[in-house]
Amino acid sequence: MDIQAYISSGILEQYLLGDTTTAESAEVERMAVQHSEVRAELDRIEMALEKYAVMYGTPPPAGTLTAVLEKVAPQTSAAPAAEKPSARSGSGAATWIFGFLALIGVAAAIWAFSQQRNTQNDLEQIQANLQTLQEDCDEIQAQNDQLSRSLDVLSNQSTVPVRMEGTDNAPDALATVYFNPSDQVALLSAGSLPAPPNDMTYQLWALIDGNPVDMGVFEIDASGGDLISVPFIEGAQAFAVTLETAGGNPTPNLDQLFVIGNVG
Amino acid sequence: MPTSNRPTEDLSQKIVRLIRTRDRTGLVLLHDNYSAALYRILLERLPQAEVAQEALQDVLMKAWDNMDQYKEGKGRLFTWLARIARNTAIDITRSKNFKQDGKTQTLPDYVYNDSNLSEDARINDPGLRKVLKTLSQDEQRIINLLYFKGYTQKEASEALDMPLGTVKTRVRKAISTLRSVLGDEGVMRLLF
Repeated sequence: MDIQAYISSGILEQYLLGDTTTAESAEVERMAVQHSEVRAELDRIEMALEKYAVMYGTPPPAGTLTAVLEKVAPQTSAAPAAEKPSARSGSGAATWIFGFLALIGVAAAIWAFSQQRNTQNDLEQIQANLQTLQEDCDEIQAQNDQLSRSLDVLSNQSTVPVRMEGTDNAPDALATVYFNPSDQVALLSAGSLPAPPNDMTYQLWALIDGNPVDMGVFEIDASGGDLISVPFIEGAQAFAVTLETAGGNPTPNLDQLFVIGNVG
Repeated sequence: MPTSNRPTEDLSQKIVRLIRTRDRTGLVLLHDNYSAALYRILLERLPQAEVAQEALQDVLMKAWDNMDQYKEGKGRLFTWLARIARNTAIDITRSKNFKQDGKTQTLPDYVYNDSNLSEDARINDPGLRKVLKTLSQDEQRIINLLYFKGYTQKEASEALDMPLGTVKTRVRKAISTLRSVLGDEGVMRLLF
């Protein structure tokens, strides 16, 4: 084939202008590989057209590049681009970083809030425990005071124990009044009195010259060991316990006498 | 710019390499050096600036996405880009959504618009004025139809009411003129 004739035919221009069939294009490409003159001619035509186009160029509106860079930003890996691109990618990264930091902030706030809630709960729990302990302590203190007073009475040499024996109503029952005329105090140990029926209560009496004097009603402690403070009755000669209706009565029901004992 | 082939060639190679490695600097260089020329090509078919700008973004995206398809051995980078630009513009004009102020422009309309090209007030480049002075009106029109608008030679012959053979001859003559004016001294030896 005459290379110069081929070059002069106009097929190269047509090829470069995208106006050749697939077969023609393949031939031009084959000729360009085989003949350096063809390759060189193609280069020169391309250069001429390129220079013309660049010369004829119209600057596109501002923002074109920016828009494209933003579109391709997500596809770039961490590839650091120079100047403008990095600034662009920065805004995308900043968004992520901001979002991430915001997430951390919210999480921290929730954590702090829950911590504060927990702390508040803990504090309330501790305060409740403290109150319970304080109450326990007061109670123990009161018991201790009571026991201490009882011990003072019992250990006092001038205290007289008055043993009350069970009657036919309760043959095995025992109770004791600790009676101290010098300090004018009296204590009752309910001892082994049986538990009273519902709506009934025990009442303590002092007897002076055969007349009963009310010393009050009392409860039987389950343990049976408590000492109960009772009024001191000057000149008491005997003590007795009767079972009375709830709240007690002005005069004793002698049918329900449970224990009785004489002073001295 | 008589012997500026080398530096230009190196720039193209750099752009190709950068874009293939997903370095957006390549896209910046491509835009800085070729966007104006590509935009000119797009404007020829898409006179509305917004449409042409959108098309230009499309072209740059295609270059970014498909750079692996560009074969260095088959031609210059800009030739490949110009082809993408022409095809993009053609695709847009053929799409259903494309409106041309309510009426379809016929080929002669395009040609009529082309006649204003040489008097275009924007043409301030002295080199371009020299080129346009050298090219005949017919040559300018043919180059613009074939190169910027992506017409086939057959379409150009119909548009210009000119025999196909004459179009072929004029294309070659016009490109030869460009080569001589734009400093390709080797052209003279080939022609004579």
